[in-house]
Amino acid sequence: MKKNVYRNLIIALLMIAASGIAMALRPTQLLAEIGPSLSLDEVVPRAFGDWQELKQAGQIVNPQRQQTLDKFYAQVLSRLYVNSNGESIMLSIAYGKDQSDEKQVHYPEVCYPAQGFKVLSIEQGSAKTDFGDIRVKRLLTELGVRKEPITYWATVGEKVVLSGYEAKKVQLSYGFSGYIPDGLIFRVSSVDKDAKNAFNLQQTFISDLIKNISPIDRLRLAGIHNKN
Amino acid sequence: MFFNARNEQFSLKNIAIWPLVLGFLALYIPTYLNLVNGLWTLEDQGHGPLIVMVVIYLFWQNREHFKQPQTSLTSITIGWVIFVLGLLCYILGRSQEIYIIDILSQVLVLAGLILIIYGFPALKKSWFPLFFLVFMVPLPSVIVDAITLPMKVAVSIVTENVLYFFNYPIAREGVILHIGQYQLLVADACAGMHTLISLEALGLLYLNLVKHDSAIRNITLALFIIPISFTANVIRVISLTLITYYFGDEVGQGFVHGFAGMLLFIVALVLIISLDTMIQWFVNSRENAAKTIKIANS
Repeated sequence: MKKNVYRNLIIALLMIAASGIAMALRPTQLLAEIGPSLSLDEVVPRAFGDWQELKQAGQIVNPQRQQTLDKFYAQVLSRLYVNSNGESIMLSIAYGKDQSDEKQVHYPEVCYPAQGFKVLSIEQGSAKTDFGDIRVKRLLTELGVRKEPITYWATVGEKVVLSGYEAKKVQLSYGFSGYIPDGLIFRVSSVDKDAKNAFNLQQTFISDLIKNISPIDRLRLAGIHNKN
Repeated sequence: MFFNARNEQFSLKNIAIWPLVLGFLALYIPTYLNLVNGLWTLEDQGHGPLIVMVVIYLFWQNREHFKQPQTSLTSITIGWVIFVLGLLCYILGRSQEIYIIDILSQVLVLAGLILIIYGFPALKKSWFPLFFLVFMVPLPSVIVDAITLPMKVAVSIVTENVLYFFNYPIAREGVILHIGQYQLLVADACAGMHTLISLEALGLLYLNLVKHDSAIRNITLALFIIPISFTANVIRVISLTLITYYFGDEVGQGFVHGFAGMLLFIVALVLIISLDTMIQWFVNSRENAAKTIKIANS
C-alpha cells in the first residue's frame, strides 16, 4: 500500500478515537435526579416569621411569556408576601433541571429593560442570614413613576453565581466530574420609592425565609453549606 | 520537498480518501445531530443549515485545488499540530456541550487536514469557506444580550419617530409599541444580533462571490453592512406595525411575519448591491479623473 493510504488511515483512526473519547466524557447524570426532587411549592412555606402569603386574584397571563417560561424552566414559583406592617414583597423563583448552554436562567438586568423598565443601577452585595452570607445583586429599576428595587441571585448546582461567565465556570466544573447541574434564579422585589428601605426589607425577608427552610433546601435555594 | 506523484484527488472514486470521509463523519455526525435537535430549532439560529450549504458549495467551487498536493515538510508539520489541536478542542467542546468550541473545532480539523494533504496553496484558497464556518457559531449569550437590547430599543425608537412623523397614533414603552388598539413587542428575533450576523454573513458572501480586488471597497462594504442591517430591521418593524394597524393582529403575526423576515433579507441585499454599485461608480469616476489628469500632464 502507498504511504498516503497509511497516513489517511491514521488520521481516520485519530478522528474516530476523538469521537469516542468525547462521547465517553459527556456528563450524563442530572444533578437534579440525585436525592429527593425539589418542589418549590412545598419547599417555600406560605407563612413564616412575620410573613404571610397574599393570594393574588386574576393575574394577567401573557401567553407568549408563559410559553417562554415553560421552555426554559421546569418550575416557576411566584408569590406575594405581606408582613404585619402591611409591607409587601414579591418573591419569584424559577428552577431549571438542566443548566447546559441554551437553557441557562435569564438575569433580571436583561429581562427587565426588555419590558420597558429602566435599570438605574446594579450593585453586587451580600444578604446576611443566620447561616452565612449569600452573594446577591441589587438592582434599582423604574417604569414611569414606579420604582422597583430588586435583590436576586442565581445558582448553578449548589453554588451561587452572579453572571453568565461564573455560571459557565461552575457548569464546566460539574461537567468534568460527569454531572449536569440544575439551577435557579431567586428574586425578591418590592415597589418602593425609598431604595434603601426596600433593600433592608428584602434583606429581612430573605433572612427570615432562610431561617425557616431545611438545611438541604438552604443549600439548594441559596448555596448555603453551613449546617448549624 | 514535494510529493507530487501520488493520487490525492478529493473524489469518492479515490478509495484512499474514504477513511478521511469516514473519520470526519464519525466526528461531526453527533455534532450536527445535536444542532438539528437543539440549536437550529431556535428561531434565531435558523441560518445555520444555510451556512453549512454555502460552505459546502464554496469548497465544491474550489475543488480544483484539491487534486495536486503541494505539501512541504513545514506544511505537513503545522498541519498535524493544527489537526491534533482541533481534535482536542472537539473533545472538550463536544463532551462539555460548549457549542462554540465544538463547531469551531471543524475549522481547525479541516485546516489541518488541508495542510497535511494539499499544502499551503490549497489552504490559502480555502480561507473564506473556513472563515465562513464561524457564522455557524452562536455568540455567547452575554455578548448577544449586551448588543441585542440597545439594538431593539434603537429600532423601536426609530420606528416610533418615523410613524409619529406620519401622524400615526403610536406610543412606545421600552420595546413595546402601541399603535391604535394594538400592542406590539419588538422581540429578540425581530431586531437583534442574530439577524445582524446573518446579514453580515450574507454581505460577506456577496463580496466573496463578486470578488472585488479593491480592499478599500471590501472593507467599506463590510462596515456598511451594520447600518444596512439596522435600516432593514427598521423597515421590517415599520411594515409589520403598519400591517397590524390596517389588517389586524392575526395578519401581522401570521404568514406575513415570516414574510417580513424574507423582506428583511431582500431589502438588505438590495441596499448592499446599490451601495456597492455606488462605491464602484465613485471609484471608477475617481480613476477616470486621475487618468484624465495624467493625460493632461503628459
